Amino acid sequence: MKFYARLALLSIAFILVFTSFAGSHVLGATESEALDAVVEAEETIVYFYGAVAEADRAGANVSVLMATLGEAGEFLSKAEFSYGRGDFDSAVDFANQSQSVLYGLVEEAEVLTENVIKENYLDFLVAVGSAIGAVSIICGGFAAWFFLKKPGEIEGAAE
Amino acid sequence: MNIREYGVFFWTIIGVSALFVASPALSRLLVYPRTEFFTEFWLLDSNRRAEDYPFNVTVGEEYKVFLGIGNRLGYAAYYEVAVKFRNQTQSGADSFNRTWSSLPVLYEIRAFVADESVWETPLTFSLDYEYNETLSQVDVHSMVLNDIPLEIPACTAAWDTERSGFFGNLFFELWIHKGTPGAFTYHERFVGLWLNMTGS
Repeated sequence: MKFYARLALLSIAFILVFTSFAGSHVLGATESEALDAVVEAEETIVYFYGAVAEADRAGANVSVLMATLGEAGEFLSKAEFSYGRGDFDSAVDFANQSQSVLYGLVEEAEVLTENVIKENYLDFLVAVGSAIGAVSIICGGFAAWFFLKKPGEIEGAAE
Repeated sequence: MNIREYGVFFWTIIGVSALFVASPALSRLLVYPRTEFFTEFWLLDSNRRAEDYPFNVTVGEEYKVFLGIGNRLGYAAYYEVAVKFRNQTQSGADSFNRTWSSLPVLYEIRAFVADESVWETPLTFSLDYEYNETLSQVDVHSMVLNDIPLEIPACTAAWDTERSGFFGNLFFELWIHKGTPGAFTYHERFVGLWLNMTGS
């Protein structure tokens, strides 16, 4: 019984190790598969870059997102380099890593953009409010200047 | 109390208060507009200075420099740095005609830089070359850049009688992405190092 239990445990361990290895490495990739993977990774990066650039235009702090894009770009460079050398397995592997790094980046960029748009709107309201407040202070000053004076001054001025 | 007796004081208070309250609105209006949009591109020595660049190099010896990009374009930019190596007669990037070198790219470095931000990366490189006694020239085979082996195709350096050495030029061209996949255009900037390939 012990023997079978050990055998089962060993089998499970072997399957786990094998699947984790196979998950990160693609064995026997063809040239066209590698090219597809590299092109797809490049397109993904460009798409995600567009989302981050949008957040940047809105005024968000995108330095963390840009660093993530940089990491993905590094993998893409390695994928292209491997493809150029004819190492298609590595090319596919690096291209996949490039894409996996970017997981969730667009959502993050969109949340940042929305927050910045809200902040900008609030800033705009504060600016409008402050302009109205300043005009009110000046108008109030004029009103006080004309109403809080000696009663005889207007007649005196008229004479 | 007559308010006119304190006129100057009264209007000063009103003016200062109005300016104080209006400051959020003024800060939006009184922003000096940016008029110059450009990219900075630089190469520094191992101490991050422009003083002690590698010049006399030997086979297999590692040298370190820093490559940097400063984005002042007004938007988040996607750059690509093309790494190339040439001898004195091969095509190089031309700052006068604003053209890039026709030599093959040995490696591409991608950089994403937010507006008003700086990107800098260390580069460690070593060269593999040998002196060809028959032809009195140096045959450059390959280089290792940040632990990545790169083959340098068809590159030989002849003896430079004026400067007394075998010279090779490691240079970096800056390209910028223009929206669609694969759409990089030359950004008219390059930096590089002239290296004297010595025997020991």
